[in-house]
Amino acid sequence: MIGAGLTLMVPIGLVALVSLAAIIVIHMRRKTPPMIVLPSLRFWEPAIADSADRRRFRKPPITLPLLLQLLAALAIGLALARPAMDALPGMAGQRSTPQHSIVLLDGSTSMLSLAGDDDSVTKWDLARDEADDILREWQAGDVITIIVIGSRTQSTSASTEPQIDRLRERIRSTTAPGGIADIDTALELGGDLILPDRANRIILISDGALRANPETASAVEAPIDLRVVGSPENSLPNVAITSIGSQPVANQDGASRLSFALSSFAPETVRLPYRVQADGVDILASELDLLAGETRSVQVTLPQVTQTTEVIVDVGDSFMADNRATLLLEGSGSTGLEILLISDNPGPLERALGALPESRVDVFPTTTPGLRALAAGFDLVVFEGISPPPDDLPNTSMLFVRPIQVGDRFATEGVMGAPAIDRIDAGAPILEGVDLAGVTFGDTPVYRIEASDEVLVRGAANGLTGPLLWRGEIDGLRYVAFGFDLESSNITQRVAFPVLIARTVADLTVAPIPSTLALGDPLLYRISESVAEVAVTNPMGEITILTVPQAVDTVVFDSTGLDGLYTVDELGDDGQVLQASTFVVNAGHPVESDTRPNPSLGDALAGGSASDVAVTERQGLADLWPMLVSIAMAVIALEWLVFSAGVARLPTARSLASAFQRIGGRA
Amino acid sequence: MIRDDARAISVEPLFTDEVLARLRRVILRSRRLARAGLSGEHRSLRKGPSPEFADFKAYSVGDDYRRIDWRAYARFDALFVRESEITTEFDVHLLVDVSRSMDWSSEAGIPTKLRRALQLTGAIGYLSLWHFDRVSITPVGSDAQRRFGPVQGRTNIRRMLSWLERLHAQREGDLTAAMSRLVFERRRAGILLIVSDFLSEDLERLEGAMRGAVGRGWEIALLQIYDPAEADPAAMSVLVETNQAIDLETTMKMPIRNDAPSVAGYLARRRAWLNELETLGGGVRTLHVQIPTTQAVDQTLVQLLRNIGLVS
Repeated sequence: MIGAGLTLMVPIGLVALVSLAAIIVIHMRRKTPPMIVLPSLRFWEPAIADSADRRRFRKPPITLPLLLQLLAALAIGLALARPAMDALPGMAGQRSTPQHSIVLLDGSTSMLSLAGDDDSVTKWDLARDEADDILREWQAGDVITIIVIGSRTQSTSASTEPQIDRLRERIRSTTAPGGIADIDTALELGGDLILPDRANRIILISDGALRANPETASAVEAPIDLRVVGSPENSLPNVAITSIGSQPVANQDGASRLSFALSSFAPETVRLPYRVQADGVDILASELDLLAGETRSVQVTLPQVTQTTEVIVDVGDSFMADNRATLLLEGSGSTGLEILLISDNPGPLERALGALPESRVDVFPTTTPGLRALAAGFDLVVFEGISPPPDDLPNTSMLFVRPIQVGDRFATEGVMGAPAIDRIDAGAPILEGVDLAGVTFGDTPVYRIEASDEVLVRGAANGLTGPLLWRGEIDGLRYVAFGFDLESSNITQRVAFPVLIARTVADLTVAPIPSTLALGDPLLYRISESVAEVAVTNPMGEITILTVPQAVDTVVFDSTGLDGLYTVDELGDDGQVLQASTFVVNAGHPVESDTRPNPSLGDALAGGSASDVAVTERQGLADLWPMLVSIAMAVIALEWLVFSAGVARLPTARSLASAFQRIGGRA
Repeated sequence: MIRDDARAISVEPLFTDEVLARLRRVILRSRRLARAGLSGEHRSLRKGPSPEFADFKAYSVGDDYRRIDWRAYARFDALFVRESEITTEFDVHLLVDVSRSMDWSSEAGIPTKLRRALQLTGAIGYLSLWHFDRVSITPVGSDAQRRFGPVQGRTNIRRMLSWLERLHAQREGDLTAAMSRLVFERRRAGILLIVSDFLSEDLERLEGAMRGAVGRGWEIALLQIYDPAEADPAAMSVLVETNQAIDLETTMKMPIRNDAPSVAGYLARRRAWLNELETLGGGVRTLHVQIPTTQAVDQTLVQLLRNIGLVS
């Protein structure tokens, strides 16, 4: 920026202004006097060359050609620097090059905070206005792409006037998706959308509370323009409940301990009064002082059988939604993971299964009869050291550990003595993040598996090879089998074991609905096969129906932009509610509740160097070079006319008129 | 260059229909002026042959016997010769300078001095022939062309104009010598009009010749044609700070400077030269008129008729 609204896009172009000095020097050169013919020299005295005449250069003659040539060179030099100006009126502001504007509209949770003292205007409102202004700059040939970034990314392009009008209407009515804006992914997407036949630019409209990877920004082959909405000086600071959770209290059946974190993003120490409610009743009212930027954890023991607890911070700040957080405790309606473990020595397996979030493990000995009936209602049955008879198979997913032969199933063909891992299917989801290096196994039978079974880990020893870990189906029910004995393997002492168990359970079971989500985070869970539709009711009572196609067992619900209690109803083919559950969306987030602009965002968008890319708050830039080139051409034409007319000295209006009259007459 | 432009103008006929029409209007006005006694045919004090009878005189040896009035002889038995009052005709001699210094103009839109000189010569000749004066025109250049005339009568007007059209610029000629030769050759004194810029003339020689002619009864008018830029050289657009100037007449080259002292010196020397030119011949039966090339030829003619009464 070199002045009010004026920006030089290619400052190096100013080097061309050196020509001004060159032109002056050329005019300072003494030339051979021009020849003229006169009728007589009888009245003239011969000019005597003085010392000044003999010098090679003279002082710059202020002549009309010199001034016109300087003006033309000045206009061309400035044009080469590609000056652009804000809101230039008239045709001078018209761009000569079609433009592709890729607008990254930050729809993260922090954009829902207030823009200033006015408690009705959010930063999202201002961002939409800014996007609207950009849409108004559209000219024929331009393309405008708006990418709303948040928990979900929406991309819309428009290249015609009707499309632009529709896009403006859509932006006006769009609510912020919330969540965390992944600016790096958005920049990569913007880079992929660059059109080769247009002047591309990327405009990020945000409150500046973002983190960007400089390498990602520098890889984008278009200038990035950051427009910060909201005024940090006029905004209230923000405080938030940035996490909430609970765990059972030892030795107190049914009691839970609530843990939550209070964070301050204010520039100085603030006193936070807060309340804790259990099932709508205040059980604690207190306050604490938080230093600038401090986060402090608070623990409160909840009364027994509390189903819902809520924490409320009673202060007014820029983002009120994150001053309240709700937690649904176990049994309050959310769907947990019920696991039935059939084992005589459950030890490490029970611990690994019990560590899974929101899971409950029931252990029964291998001698328990009526397994099929017992397993009803469980999400997963784990058999350790036994295999159920074919007529007593549970009607759910199963995990077998060192199974024994029943009929033709799990037949063995010898034993591998302390096998080593021979082959691993590294791409299998079950093995993601599972490090089996150094894991040892005891004597392991060589199981004969079905051709359709999928071997994930194969072992080899004493000339034999056999599966150590595989997956398959029994009567249409999925199962995973560990062929090795846990007691004779060291895997239970390695971090790979709980990871392997977690991956295996996730692969075999329907994921439970989480009890809480951060604002904007998508709800992602696996449903049972009998579900045809899922109805989600948001805190405003609006219902979203998600149709579940055949062969799809995962549901994604991304409209979690409102904080509060959501209800999920799984519906069967006949419309009957098969299962109902709830989850809570809390607005508080360790990153998004920090509404303070990131001072290094500009540098990051400039690829680590703020001088490389224009990070400005300008808008509606118009190229001035066409106007400057026009001026230069007009001046050159005028200079030619002056040369033709022989007007070397600075003319009066009369002499100019006379000169042009002569030119016109001659023409 | 200006000379090229001047040539472009000179391609046009010297006497276009428009110029001739304007000259005729001037001539008609000159008739009225003549009646008013300011110009036109002069009543002569001499008696001579004319249809207009004045008196009788007794015949004496040497009288033209064709004028004997035989009727009076029959009546009076004595020879009488008829005398009548005659209108005199002037001998108008025009010396026109066609040297190269005349073929110049300072600006493209201004006619050259030669063009204006030929137009003025033609206009004066037109007027004189219209009034039955005897007219001769002598071009003065290096290779002197044949003189036109003397002729008398209006039937010669067209021929005279055509002759003038064919004149073109030549190298330097001797105006003084041409004038002396003319005066010497003509027995009868007349009016001598010299149309020139006089830039290449030796004024001392010219004055000597003029005094000789005046002494023999000639009336002399110096019609000086000049370009406006000659009176104000600073106005010439082609002049820059320093120029290498070429004398059109002599082809001599000389550096000149277009600054205030140089221009002031130029103007002073020209003023002195003009003063000298005006006083040539002592002012007796001589006249000096400055005519700018920017002045239309009919206006020049009116100026001569109205203010000087020179042309009859």
